Amino acid sequence: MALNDQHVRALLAACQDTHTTELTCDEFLDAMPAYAELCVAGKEASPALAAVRAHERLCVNCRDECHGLVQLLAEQPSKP
Amino acid sequence: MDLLLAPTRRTRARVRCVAAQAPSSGAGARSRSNDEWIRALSSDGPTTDSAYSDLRAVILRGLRRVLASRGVPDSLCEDVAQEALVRVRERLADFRGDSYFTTWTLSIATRLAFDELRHKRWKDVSFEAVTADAKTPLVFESAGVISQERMIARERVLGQLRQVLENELTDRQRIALVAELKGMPHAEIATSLGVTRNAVYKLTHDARKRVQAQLQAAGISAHDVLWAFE
Repeated sequence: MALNDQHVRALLAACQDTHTTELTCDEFLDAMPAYAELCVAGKEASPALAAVRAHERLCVNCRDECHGLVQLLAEQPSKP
Repeated sequence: MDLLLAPTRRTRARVRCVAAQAPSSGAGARSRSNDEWIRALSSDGPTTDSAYSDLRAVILRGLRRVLASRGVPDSLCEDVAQEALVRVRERLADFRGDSYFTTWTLSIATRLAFDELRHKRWKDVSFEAVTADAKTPLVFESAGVISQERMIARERVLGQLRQVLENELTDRQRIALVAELKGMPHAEIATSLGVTRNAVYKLTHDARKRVQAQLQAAGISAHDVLWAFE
């Protein structure tokens, strides 16, 4: 299998950040609304959200979705 | 989407009809509490119709905001908004109440939208082509010139990586990992493998844990890896 610099760096970085137990994508989606609101408020660094942050770092698809939601919420004129 | 129940045809038709026809109450979309949203959407009648219409407006505004910069046509936003409404109605009982209801709704819509965008991007890409070399020996294609010292350090890391990738992963773990590294979305990998998105994440998670354990057993630290592949 041919892997280039980018592939190998991404794999090794992900492996270094790997935890024994990680959230699934469904579990991340369940946590994403509250997490996104905290991100907009600048309060996402809570230790209680470590597993959520870890999944966001490791799963590019969930990360893109979360960033999209945060962008959307941040641009709202006021809370619903 | 594997996490959502398949909506019934009747629910889908009713939500689509109601949301398209009922006038939006505009300001009403901003004044409902979470409980008010849940009550309005759970019942039947004019209040429900208005709530669906308001929620559709919220979803559409949100989708247009996040997708406009990606060149997504409004027709796709409309389609996703309709699908999101159906999913919301089906999953009302799952709302945890730890966020605004509209945020929860928008999270569902966002996932649907991104899944659709990724599918459009990847639907003509052959999974077999992407993963064709997954069972072959690891070949590292490095760009650029590096020092002899760094090359030796890299080979030390790559040797361990090679051991795991070629000998210690299951076929599915290896295939899922290679497809993920080459940018294929998990949903597309899942469809190709006939599993759920969660299952794909687990395959790659297990593969990563194996690599991590191998590197640790070989005494290769995170610093060693960072330096070798700077």
